[in-house]
Amino acid sequence: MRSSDRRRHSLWAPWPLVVLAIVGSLLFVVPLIGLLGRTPWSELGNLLGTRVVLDALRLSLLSSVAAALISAILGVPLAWVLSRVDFPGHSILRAMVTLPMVLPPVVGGAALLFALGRRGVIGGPIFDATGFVLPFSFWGVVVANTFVAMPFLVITVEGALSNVDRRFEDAAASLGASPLRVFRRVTLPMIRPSLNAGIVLAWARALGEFGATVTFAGNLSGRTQTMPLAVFVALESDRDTAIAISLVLIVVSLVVLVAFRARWWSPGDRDPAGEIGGST
Amino acid sequence: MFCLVTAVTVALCVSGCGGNNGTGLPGAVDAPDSPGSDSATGTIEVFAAASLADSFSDIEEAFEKLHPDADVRLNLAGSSALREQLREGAPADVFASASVAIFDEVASLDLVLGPTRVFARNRLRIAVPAGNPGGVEGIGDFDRDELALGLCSEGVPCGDLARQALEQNGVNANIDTNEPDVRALLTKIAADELDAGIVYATDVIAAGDEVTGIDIVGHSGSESAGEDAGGPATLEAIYPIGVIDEGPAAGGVRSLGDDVAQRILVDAGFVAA
Amino acid sequence: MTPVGPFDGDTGSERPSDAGLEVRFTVTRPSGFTLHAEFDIAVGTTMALLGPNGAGKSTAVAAIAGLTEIDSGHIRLGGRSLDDGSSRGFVPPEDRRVGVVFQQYLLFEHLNVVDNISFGLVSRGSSKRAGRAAVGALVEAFDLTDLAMRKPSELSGGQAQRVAMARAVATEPDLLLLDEPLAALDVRTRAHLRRFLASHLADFAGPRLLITHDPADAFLLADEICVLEDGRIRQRGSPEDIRSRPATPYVADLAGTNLLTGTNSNGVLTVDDHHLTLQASDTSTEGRVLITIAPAAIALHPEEPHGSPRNTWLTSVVAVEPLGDITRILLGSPLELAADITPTSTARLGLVPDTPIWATIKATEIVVTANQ
Repeated sequence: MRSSDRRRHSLWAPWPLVVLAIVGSLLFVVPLIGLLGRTPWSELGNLLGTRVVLDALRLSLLSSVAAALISAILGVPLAWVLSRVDFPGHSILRAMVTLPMVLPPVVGGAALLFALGRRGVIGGPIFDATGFVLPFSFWGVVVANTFVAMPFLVITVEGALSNVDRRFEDAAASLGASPLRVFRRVTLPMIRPSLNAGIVLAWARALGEFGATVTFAGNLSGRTQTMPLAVFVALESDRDTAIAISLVLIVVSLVVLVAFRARWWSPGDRDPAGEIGGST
Repeated sequence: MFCLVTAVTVALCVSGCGGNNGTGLPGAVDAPDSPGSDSATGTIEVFAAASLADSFSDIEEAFEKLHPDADVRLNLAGSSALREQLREGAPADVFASASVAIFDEVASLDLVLGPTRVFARNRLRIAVPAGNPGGVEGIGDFDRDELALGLCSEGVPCGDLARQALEQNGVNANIDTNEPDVRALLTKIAADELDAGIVYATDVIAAGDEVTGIDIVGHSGSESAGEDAGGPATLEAIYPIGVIDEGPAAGGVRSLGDDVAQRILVDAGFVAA
Repeated sequence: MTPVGPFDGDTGSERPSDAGLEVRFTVTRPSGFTLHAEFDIAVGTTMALLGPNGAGKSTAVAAIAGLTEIDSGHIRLGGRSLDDGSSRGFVPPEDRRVGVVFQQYLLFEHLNVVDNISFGLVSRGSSKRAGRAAVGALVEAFDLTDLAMRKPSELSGGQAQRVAMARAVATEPDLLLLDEPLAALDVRTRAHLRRFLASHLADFAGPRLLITHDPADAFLLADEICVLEDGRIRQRGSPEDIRSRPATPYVADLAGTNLLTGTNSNGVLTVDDHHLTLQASDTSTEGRVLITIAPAAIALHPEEPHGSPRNTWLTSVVAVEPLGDITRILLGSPLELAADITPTSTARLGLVPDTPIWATIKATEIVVTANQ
């Protein structure tokens, strides 16, 4: 065994790091334990079977998946442009794309309202012409979710695209592939791990979105009340339901994130330990 | 100044102003009625229902002018949210609720010191954007599908009262959103993203020109809390205020019935207590 | 230094037909390095662009493949202009019909061998299935049938390079451009693949351009060699021209080595195409071999030498080339070799063309490397 193997497989680590790591993990573990401690286990089935909860679950899943897909469809070309094209205003655009990651989501929701609402800059003319309005509709939820989730995908994919070995694209061009064909048949397959990671990240972010959704799409059970909104409302009147829904959210998210493991965190790389350790 | 301010001062002194870590008694605990007990210092956490936002802000300003060493912090939210925060042990000195029921729940947790006092009432009103683009005339219009309509969430006093009003008027409402608190609802109405919503009369006034108020048809307008046999109960929010027990403090709370305080509240649209 | 020399009156010096590659351009890189390239390649011939690292070889590849624009001049292939120095006249790589074999293979990791080879056809509109069928013959010809379903990560260097070449050839390009194809391979594989190229290059009908820093590649595979040094072509000619009349010291060094192919059987070297055997001291490298003899290792004698050297034969002087410190004597049949001796010795021996002279080489001076 090489020495790096030995270190990776033993439990040895410098103790200051261990202490800090333990404190860090507690930050994530303790709230979960607290939640589990107050869960009304015996009534869980009933609580989760109500119309309100099932509607919220359905809406959350549909809107988060829709947001992830739209994020991919729009986000990949955007990432490509950001990573490959040098145009005036490039850094401004990049900053704006990452803005939803640092903005309080409620601010994002308000901005969406002012832009796409019934009296919005863009939404207004559309409403006057067609009567179509995004707020208070399912697609409003999707828009709000996409707004906060897409930056995660764009950043992930942009990084991967910048790291792609361009010589493969040159090789493809020399074989007669047009730039679009090169993108579809060579570049995209090469960034597949990062793209998948980006989609999962965007989906997870969309699933948990609250502020932008409630501000832009409103809150109506069955139409716009996603799981996070349902928890918020339930917290004030029905504590047990709130805990039950929270548990579902956590379990669903954990399952997805664990299933994809560390592979998704290092775009483009294969886990080197995997070859030595021998796992799949 | 006005007795309201004084009353709160007293309440503060009694409940352990600021940096005592909640232990021991603060200095100068005079008889509750004494207006000279101006020893209010430190931070005063006031949990108040969202609909009290503007009036309590004015009161806070005046109070801090009078007691420069005091820092009043307003925590404004839906009454039910505040109740939950208090239940979880949030540090508050004063709790002003928009609902007697919610206030009573907090009281039942042994959090409230001494007697409470109703200091204001608030009527429900329909709010529409300036110009009334939806052509709303009364609560009966709340069943129109083509309108974008909003209420406060259930559990929030404003929301519960609104639902009562709809039920009493026999309206099968077509609601598009249940906002977490009345201010959020009002903001959307003022922005013309909603055609109408049921809010408090104070909110209609607070929103000024951006919003027009319409009476809820069928509302009796009565100020009393009496119940007529078969008639609608008064659709008013009743505002009790009380001092929260956060430590080994004793004492009482003074009423907010003073003329000046009441004038502030009435100017804001509240109904006199 | 010396400008491109005039052609000999030999064959291969006619102007290339319009179907070939015609290159006359200048490219300046951001670093300031400038390449002036000027050569033609006729169809059915292989030209080697030979030069040390930093000479400008990769710049030349990029310009011809369309990965970089030229600053002035032109590139014409098969009668079409690929680049005339203007931005409007620049033909993008996907439209150039230049098949490139890269040093690092650059096979697409997510596709198997067959799909890699048919990539060009599929990119031009074939369905995947039609593409696979169309390249079947190529897969066989390149001896890749057993590897057809493998992914590039499962191939050895030599196998990968064969796939790369099949891939480039599958689209029937107008020019086959091999960019240092053997440089990433180990010595044994290099020899193996060089033989493979030697037999398969000629199957490609169009012009072929081989970029390399290894003179062995150039001398064994090319019909014509352009020596590239510091961004300029220093000499151009057949391998024999380069070897016999090197225009610069670098070329002389480069080309000085005598390279032969043959077979080794227990130290007895049978030289291809020659009725001559040599004795080498290397008895371990059996079979097909490359035979390398340094010019300085050949001793010349006016009379048959006595004593032990086993490799002795009577030959005659074909040409005498003064190269400053040394004089290069080109020997004729039975074995054409270049021998370097001092000018003094040249004078003393009275060497002029057609002078008979005895040549000897020590067995230990003959370097033998595997060539199979």
